[in-house]
Amino acid sequence: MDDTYLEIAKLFSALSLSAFGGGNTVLPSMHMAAVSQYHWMSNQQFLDLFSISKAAPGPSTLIVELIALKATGFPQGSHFLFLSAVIGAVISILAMFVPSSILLLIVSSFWEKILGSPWQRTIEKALMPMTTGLILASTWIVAKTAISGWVTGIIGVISLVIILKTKINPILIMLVAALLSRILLK
Amino acid sequence: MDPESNNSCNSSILESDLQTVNGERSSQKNAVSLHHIANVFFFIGVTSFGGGGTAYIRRIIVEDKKWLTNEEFFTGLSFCQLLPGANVVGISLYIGNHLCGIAGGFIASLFLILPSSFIFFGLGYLYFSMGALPSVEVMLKGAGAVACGLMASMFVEAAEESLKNVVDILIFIITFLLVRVGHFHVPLVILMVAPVALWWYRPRPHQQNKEIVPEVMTPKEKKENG
Repeated sequence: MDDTYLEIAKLFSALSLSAFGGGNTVLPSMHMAAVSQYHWMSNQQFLDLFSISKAAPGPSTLIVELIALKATGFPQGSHFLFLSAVIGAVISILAMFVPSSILLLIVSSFWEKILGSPWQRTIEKALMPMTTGLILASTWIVAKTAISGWVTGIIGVISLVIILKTKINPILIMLVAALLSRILLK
Repeated sequence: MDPESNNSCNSSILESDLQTVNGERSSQKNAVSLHHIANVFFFIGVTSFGGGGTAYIRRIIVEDKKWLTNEEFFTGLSFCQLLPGANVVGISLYIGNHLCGIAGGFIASLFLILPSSFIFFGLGYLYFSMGALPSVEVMLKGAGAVACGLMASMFVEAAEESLKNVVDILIFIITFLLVRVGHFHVPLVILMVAPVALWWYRPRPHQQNKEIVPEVMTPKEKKENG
C-alpha cells in the first residue's frame, strides 16, 4: 500500500512538471500509467473517470484524484478503504498541483518585481498575440467536441453573443442551454 | 468579527502607490481581501462546468469584479501557457498572487480546488462502489456548447486587447497555425515564436520616452474608466 502512495506521488509530480499547455496534454500519459503500467484500473474505467472529470464542476485535472481514489481506496479484490483513499487523494492533488504552482509563483513574483520596466512591456507585447493564438487553438479544440450538430452550434453562437453583449452570468446561460438540449436532443 | 477579513491585504498601500506610477493600467488591487478571494474562487470552483474554465474566470474576475484589467489577465494567462500545469489552477494562483501576494495565490487556488475535490471524491466513490455513472450527458451537451461560446468570447477579448498592428496579427496567425495545422507542441511553438516576438518588441532607446506617456486605452477601457 505504501508503494502505491509513492507511485502516485512520483507519477503525478512528474506529470505536473511536464503538462506544458495545460492538464489535458498529459492525459495520454496518465492513461498509460494507470491502465498498462500500474494496472490500477481497466481501460473502460479510465474512460469513465474521464467523463466524470469532464462532467463534475471544477478543474478537470482533478481526474488525478479519481485515479488515486481507485488505486488506494479500491485495490484489487479489497473492500473500500476510506482512510487510504483520503490519503491517496490528498497526495495526488498535492503532487499534481504543487510543483507547477511553485514554478508559476516564481515567475509571477519576478513579474511583479519588474512591473513598469521597459522589458516588462516588451514581454507583454511579445506574449499577448501568441496567447491569443493559443486561445483560438483551444477554442477550436473545445468546439470540436462541444459542437456536434445544429442545436449545439446555434446554442454556442447565441451564447457567444449574449456573453459579449450582456453581463448575464454564464452559469445562467448554461442552465438554460442544459434544459434546452435536454428537450431538443432527447 | 475578524478584523483582517474586512481589510485589504497588507501590501495594498504600497501597491496603490505603484498604481499611480503605472497610470491607467491599474486594477482594483487595494479593494480586495483574502476573504473576497476565498469567496469568489470557491464560487468559481463549484460553478465551472464543461471546459473553458479560464474563460469563466476571466468573465468573473475581469468583467464582473474588475479586480484585474484584461491586459493583466492575459499576461497571466500567457505565463500559464508558457509553464507546465493546469491552466485554471495556474491563472487562479496568478490572480491571487497579483492581488494579495503569495497568501492570495494560495487561497485562490486552494478554494478553487478544495470544494471540487470533495465532489470528485464523492462521485468517484459512487462510481467504484456501485458502478454508477451519472447520466447527464444530454444536458452537458448544452452546457458544453455554452462553454465553447465562453471560450470564443475570451478569444474576441484577447484579440481586441492584443492585435494592434500587422506584426501582432502575424505573430497570432503563425502561433495558431503552428499549433493547429503544424500540430507542434505548445512549448515548442512558444520557443519558436517568442524569440522573434521579443526581439521585435525589444526596448529601444527612442521608445523609452513613450513609456512615460500613459498607454493608449482601448475603447472598452475608456468606457470602464469613465
